[in-house]
Amino acid sequence: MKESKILIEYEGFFSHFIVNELTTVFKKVLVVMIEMLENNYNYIESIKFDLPEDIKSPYFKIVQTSKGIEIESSNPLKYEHLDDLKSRINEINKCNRQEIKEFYLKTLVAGMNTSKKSAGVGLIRIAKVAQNKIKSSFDHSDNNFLYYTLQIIVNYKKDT
Amino acid sequence: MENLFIEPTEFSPKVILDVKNKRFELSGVSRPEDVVAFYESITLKAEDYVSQMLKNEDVLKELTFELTFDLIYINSASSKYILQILDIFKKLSLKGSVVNCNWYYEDVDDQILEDGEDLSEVIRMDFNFIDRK
Repeated sequence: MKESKILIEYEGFFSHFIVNELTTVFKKVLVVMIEMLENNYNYIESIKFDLPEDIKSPYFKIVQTSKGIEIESSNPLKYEHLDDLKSRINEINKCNRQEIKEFYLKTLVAGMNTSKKSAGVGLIRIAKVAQNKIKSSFDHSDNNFLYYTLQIIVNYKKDT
Repeated sequence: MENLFIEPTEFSPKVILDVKNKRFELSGVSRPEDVVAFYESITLKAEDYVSQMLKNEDVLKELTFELTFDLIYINSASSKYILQILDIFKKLSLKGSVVNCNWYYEDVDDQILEDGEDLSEVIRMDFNFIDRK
């Protein structure tokens, strides 16, 4: 940490409504942050034996922008997982708010009785909670790995 | 059949299956490090309880079972297992028992309310949404 920076601010007279708004934003940031970090370490855990020693380390940050609070998470990604992940993100980003909810519920039901650890709704939940599109980038790392970055913004003002 | 009681931790919820009082409770934070290991024993115990109850049709008709979810945070991995738990206890209502599901939330916490609404919709069971206040 180089310097202190305001993460969230509000100037004006507070009210029950304002307190609720700020709490809602923070709760959304918390949910998105936990989902991103869990995705990050669960994926790394699943490929840990394939990771070269000199691979770029996973990374995470939360920053304030003019639009809202941006949450960003990066980790190495095996090339063989790129197409599935890209197609998942595209599918999520095509959805409007109602469609993302339907996609989330459909995936939750489909994953309910599978042998997988989770229902596979983490990424969908991130977009559903933040109510924004996911931004992603995939930078070449070496012949087997990319460096994958996931970003999303939680807006300050509650979008109702 | 014995009760089930699991102490809560900072990251995993308190769990109660009270056989005598016919109630199940999950409360606190649900993002255990090993979600499979944590929920496996709970779903097995719930399955065992429901299987025993389903053997006696007369008891089923008189049974009122209480489900209580008083959660502060649920990660997406836990949602899968909470859905499984709901699915198990729903079998009782399909055989004539009354299953009441109480889902607690705070008015400043949209997420927990939304999680409950999503699960209620998926499992097709009415929840009583209760503001903790």
